[in-house]
Amino acid sequence: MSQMKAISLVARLLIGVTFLYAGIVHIADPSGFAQAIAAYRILPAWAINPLAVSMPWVEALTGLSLVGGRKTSGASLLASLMLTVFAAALTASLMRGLDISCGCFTTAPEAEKITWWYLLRDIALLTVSIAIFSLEAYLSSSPPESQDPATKLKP
Amino acid sequence: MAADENIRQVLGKGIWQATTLVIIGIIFGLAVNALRLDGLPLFTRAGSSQTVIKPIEKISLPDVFQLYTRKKVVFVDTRDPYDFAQGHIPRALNIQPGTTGAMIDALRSSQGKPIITYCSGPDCPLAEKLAQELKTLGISDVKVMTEGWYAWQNSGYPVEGNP
Repeated sequence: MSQMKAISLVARLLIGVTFLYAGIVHIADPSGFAQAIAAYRILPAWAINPLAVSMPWVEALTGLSLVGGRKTSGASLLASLMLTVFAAALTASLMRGLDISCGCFTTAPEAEKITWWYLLRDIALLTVSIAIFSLEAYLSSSPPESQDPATKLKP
Repeated sequence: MAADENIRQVLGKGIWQATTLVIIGIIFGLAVNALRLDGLPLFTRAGSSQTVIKPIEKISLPDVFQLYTRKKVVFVDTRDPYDFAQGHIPRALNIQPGTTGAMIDALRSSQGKPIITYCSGPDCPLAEKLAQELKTLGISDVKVMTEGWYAWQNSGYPVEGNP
């Protein structure tokens, strides 16, 4: 049980810090982030700026929740959803052969261009994020008294 | 059966919590964007928001000089402050990409005159980056002088600064 909790903690910190960092980078440069989103050529122009100003805060809050262990099931669900969307955007861009930078952890357009490795990294994070949610479900399914059967005997 | 029930419960709780996080995130994002100097315009006229994706227009050195002589232009030098101090196009502002916040009001008030950004030369990406940034901030009349500062200087055009 405590082993499960330790695994969950490590996983939460990994995804939490990643999202918090990405959120802060995007909050610092909304205009650069808007250009990064636009470069994917997936969203209509009117949707780019509203997404560029609000998504970084959702990322940062998700990261903060995971690091702090608050609203963990919601935050891990949201992280999984975002990572799935990023994976879809990356796949579409790679298949169309777009020569763009990821915009994931830097907003500089001259940053390294996307490759299939970026997709692999995203899928790895997605797996960990789904694991956090599953662990959350597992941990909450075990009643607290099962941790210490001796407590049952006490009056 | 109990496990199924539990997953359903955790999922329900998760969806509820995720929705809360999204709503709080959007509220924070919109509020901070409204307060910050380099906030993005959220509702742009149809077509004008396309500037985000459109490539930036280039302008050649002779055309730039013509505008300069008619004083109908705002120059933005994107090189670092040290190079700027050494010499720049007269009356140019010195702004690097990512630092538009403090200068944005000055640039917005100069609307009506085209803004021309430049860097040291064609290999420097800063002038184009800044032009993109200004367009995203809703300033549409921006062009890039690709030839850059050295070409201007080598053409014997007027300069300002302390070499």
